[in-house]
Amino acid sequence: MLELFLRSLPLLQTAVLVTLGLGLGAFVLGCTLGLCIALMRNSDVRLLRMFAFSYVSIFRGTPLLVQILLIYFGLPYYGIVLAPIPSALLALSLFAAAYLSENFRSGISGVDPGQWEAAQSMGMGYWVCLRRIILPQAFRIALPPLGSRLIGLIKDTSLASTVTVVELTRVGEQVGASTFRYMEMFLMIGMIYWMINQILTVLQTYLEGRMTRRYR
Amino acid sequence: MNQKQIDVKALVKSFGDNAVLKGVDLEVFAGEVVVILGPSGSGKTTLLRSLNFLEQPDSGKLEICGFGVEVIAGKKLSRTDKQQITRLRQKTAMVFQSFNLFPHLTALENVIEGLISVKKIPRNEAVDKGVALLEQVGLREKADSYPARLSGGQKQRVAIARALSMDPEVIFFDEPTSALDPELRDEVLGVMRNLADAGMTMLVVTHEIKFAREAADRVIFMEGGVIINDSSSELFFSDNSGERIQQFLRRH
Repeated sequence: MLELFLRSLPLLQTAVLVTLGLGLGAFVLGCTLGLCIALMRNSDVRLLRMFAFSYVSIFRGTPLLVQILLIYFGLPYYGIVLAPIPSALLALSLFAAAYLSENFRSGISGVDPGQWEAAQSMGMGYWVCLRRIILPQAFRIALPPLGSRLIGLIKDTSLASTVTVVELTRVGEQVGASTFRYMEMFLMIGMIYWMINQILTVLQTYLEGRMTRRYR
Repeated sequence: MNQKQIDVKALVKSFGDNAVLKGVDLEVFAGEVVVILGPSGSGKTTLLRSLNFLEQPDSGKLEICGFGVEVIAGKKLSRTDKQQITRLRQKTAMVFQSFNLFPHLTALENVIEGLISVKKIPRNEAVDKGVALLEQVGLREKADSYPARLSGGQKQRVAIARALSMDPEVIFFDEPTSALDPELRDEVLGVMRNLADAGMTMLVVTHEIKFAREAADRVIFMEGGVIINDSSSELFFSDNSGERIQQFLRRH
């Protein structure tokens, strides 16, 4: 197994970077969009609420694989041609935003309404209050589910292999096909996913500890 | 006569079918300490919270620290009304029953938050002022503590310092000692007494009869969503304040 590992190392190295790039990239983009969706969902404006509700309903209610295929194979019919990696990144980000918006929403609702009142009673506006008072607290509440979402996203990047993105799973397939050593190859790939996610878990635990310290 | 800080006319507020304020008129002048007493559910907290629009009244005419808002039943607030509300909130401050300190900020950061993010004062100036205010409420040494490490009485004193930081013309106190153990109440009431003596305009909803007796200029007694007595503190605590008030006072 070691010699197979060493032989495929150059391929694996790039593949890990692609997997991480897709996963983290989609997480950052998904968080940005997800936060906007969460705020729309809590808005006073009916239209924004309806948009946010529909967005979550569609992107959470359909399989990620279908979304990837639609973007990569479907959009070219309308003249929108995206390369494999941008297609996958777009699909992953849109998909992640749906889930992440719900995580943010629960974080924001989890903050004591008295916090809004205290801020408003000193004449603080909505956006300042959100940025300085509410979001720091909401983020702490939302951190565990956000961490889970990131880990889920790292694994979901494997679906990008279906649109020819050479990430970890795709490399496993390729090397497996050329050597007929599928068992060892996919065990190795699985282990790499697991290790990445272990590191993320440790990171999440550390962040949680840091953010919780001041609350007790 | 002093300047009128609060002038409220025909204030009405319902929660669903439950009419909580049934047309309240109220005037408060600069420097007055007004205590609002009354049984639970009489509408006193709702009245206080309506004055800075934490509770939106159904109708009524309010003028708070020079900023007027007229709420007409069934009509939404205009943009100008909302601006007026933000301005009047910057002239008033509120101290809550449950403190509502910002738990992710230290005591000092709590006190200077409004100075920095609302009044846009440079941080070093804000810190100087914040430290002085903590000193005033006797918590200079707790400046760097997070609220989770403070006792209830200390939290409420920080909340009072936070309220003072905005240089309010009026401070609203919403049952500031109700969530505190009896032995912690006195430290908070002591700070409030000092403010009253210093001439701060205060509107205090409370169950502390002793505080009303000693610190109030005026006592308002509410029941069933209306003010049924509005008189000087001396008159309120005298023998001829009326049967209902005597009965209330006997029970406290």
